[in-house]
Amino acid sequence: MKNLNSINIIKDYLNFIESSTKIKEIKNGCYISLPFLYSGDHFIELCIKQLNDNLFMISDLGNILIEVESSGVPIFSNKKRKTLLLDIVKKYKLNLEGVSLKKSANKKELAQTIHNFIEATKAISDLTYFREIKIAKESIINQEIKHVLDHKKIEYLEKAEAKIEGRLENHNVDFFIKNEKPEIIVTHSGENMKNRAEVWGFKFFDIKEKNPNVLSISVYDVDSIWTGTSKRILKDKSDYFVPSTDIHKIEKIIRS
Amino acid sequence: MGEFPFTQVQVDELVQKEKYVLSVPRKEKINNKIRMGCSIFLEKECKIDIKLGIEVNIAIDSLFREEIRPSGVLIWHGQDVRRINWKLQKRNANGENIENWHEHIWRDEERMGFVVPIEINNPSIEEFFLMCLERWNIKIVGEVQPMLIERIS
Repeated sequence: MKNLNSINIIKDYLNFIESSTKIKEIKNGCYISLPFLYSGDHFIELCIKQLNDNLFMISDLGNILIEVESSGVPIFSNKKRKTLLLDIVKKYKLNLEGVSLKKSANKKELAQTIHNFIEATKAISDLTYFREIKIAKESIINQEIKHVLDHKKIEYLEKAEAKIEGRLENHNVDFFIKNEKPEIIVTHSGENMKNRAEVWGFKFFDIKEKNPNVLSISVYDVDSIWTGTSKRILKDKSDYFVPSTDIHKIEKIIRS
Repeated sequence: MGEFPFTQVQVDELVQKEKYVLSVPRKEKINNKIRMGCSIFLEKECKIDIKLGIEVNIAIDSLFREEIRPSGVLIWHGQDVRRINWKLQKRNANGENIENWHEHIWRDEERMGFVVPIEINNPSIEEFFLMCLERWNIKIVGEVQPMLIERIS
């Protein structure tokens, strides 16, 4: 009797799963919505394409990672979360292609693979519980500077490529516009601005020592805590000192 | 709701308020997805608010190309307060089932769990970006506000 009840419970549960699953036929496959929620209260949705008689490709179409990242929880730029993500992908034997979870499976493996997608998506979704609302301001400011430079169709180097010679050493800047009279842009955001101002005061000085024609622009985060001294150092040592609220004014400053 | 630096009323006011972007941002390819995003100006101060941004994303995958659709968010203080995306089905906060394109609306209780259905016809990422701008009352400075350009220059 006990066994019979257990079987009924499982049957009812599987019936519930089946009746709550929605399927849409697509060319060479199907799109399925499974009754398991992840962050954003979305059901887990997968796309399955048949590659040949016995082989299928399954993808989440980047749903979970795009959604988690664009809701303010960085994964790829956060070392800890990225490590956890890679652990999850490995644990459930899936592949990560850019932002998409993917896996090929034969007929025999298909059910288990779908189940692994569910497990992995739930686990990735759990990474949002560790969120703290902290805006990566430096990267947002830099994105906006790029937007302004792109708008003016200015060619520039950034990140590791944006390197300029000083008299004593080379310096990495946020943006480097190669011209006869080069232009550099450096963003100042975060904490401990006094140290940063002192370091960049020296760097700007060293760069100018090597090439006095360099035009230096400091963009400072208006929400960081600034002392009068820190601001004065950067103001004195860079040619332009622009608040993050006026990034668009860079367009007028740049000589290109 | 102390965790969030705004309320539903403030978010609704923000969405209704006329806002601006400098121009349509270029498409960036990152991690096998295409992203278009930028910060937003509030007209009153003519200042960029780096805590207020818009971004749309779409995954790149040639095998599943026909099934991939863009999604877009309005972000305030690092949190999405509006989101437009497509799902085969979505259980709304009030229990009803919504299908296909929908917009998530920030609410104090449900956060982003409340959605309204919307009509969209398979847009490209650029069309989708423009649609998000229009829906969230964001104008492009260069195209519509010559007076504003003078003020921010």
